[in-house]
Amino acid sequence: MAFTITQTDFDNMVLMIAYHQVRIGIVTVALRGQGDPDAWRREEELMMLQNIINALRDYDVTDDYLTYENIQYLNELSKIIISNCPISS
Amino acid sequence: MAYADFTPKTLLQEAQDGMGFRIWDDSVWNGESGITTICFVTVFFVNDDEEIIEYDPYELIVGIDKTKFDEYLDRDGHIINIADLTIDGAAADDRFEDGYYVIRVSYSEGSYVAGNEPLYDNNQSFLALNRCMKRKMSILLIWPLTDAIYRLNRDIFLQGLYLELAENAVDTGLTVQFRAIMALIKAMYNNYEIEECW
Repeated sequence: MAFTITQTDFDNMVLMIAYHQVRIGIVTVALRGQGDPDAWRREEELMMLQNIINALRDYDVTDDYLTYENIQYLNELSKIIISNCPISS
Repeated sequence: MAYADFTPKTLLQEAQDGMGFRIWDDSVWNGESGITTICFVTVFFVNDDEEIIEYDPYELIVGIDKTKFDEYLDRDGHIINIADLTIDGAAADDRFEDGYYVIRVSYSEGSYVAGNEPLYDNNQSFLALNRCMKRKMSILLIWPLTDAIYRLNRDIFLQGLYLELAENAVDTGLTVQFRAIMALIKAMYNNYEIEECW
């Protein structure tokens, strides 16, 4: 399948994931500070988002090591993780 | 006239596709860069058997043409593609194999006996293939987080850490440790059946 995302759109997509990751991170920091056991789950989500960001960040969309479907999948997965966090919905 | 007060140093960054690298100067020249008339970049690959594969020297100054050298001096650097390199006169592979490299830059203004000119050896890990494979590893993630996905999530995160560790091992000259870290990284990819990118 032909690649149908521009580098600019791709970079903005990664930036948005990073933006929401920071929002979840701020909540996580507060939960940790309060000793809330829910912080652990938020940290797992942060780590998952970081893995997604690391997979995508600085990727050149003209390369074909990641397919368009791979990129779409990771973007959709990030949205699910982000929506799972109460503050981000 | 030899250099009076020149401390050579280089920085470099491998291309994501492993087909080249950008190299740029980080020397303290004290105003002496202009007298340079000869500058070679030589790539040494130290393979897993500790054998050294030496690429033929790559000229940054070709005759009186200093275009490449000027790029090298600039912060944007000069890009050396593997397609421009040879080994014993024969074309090199299509990509740099992941592993331990020493990138040597030597300088002269014509007065040095060959082999005695100022040089800088930059120990460098080239890990483009392994970094690409780590990108693919994240595609295995699914939601929700079960125990198995938790372990996978953690392993992906740690794989990034181990890649950084491998780079740091080379930067600090710890070659044996580099091999050990790379063995773990490869085992992790095998465990999750991550296909090579090329």
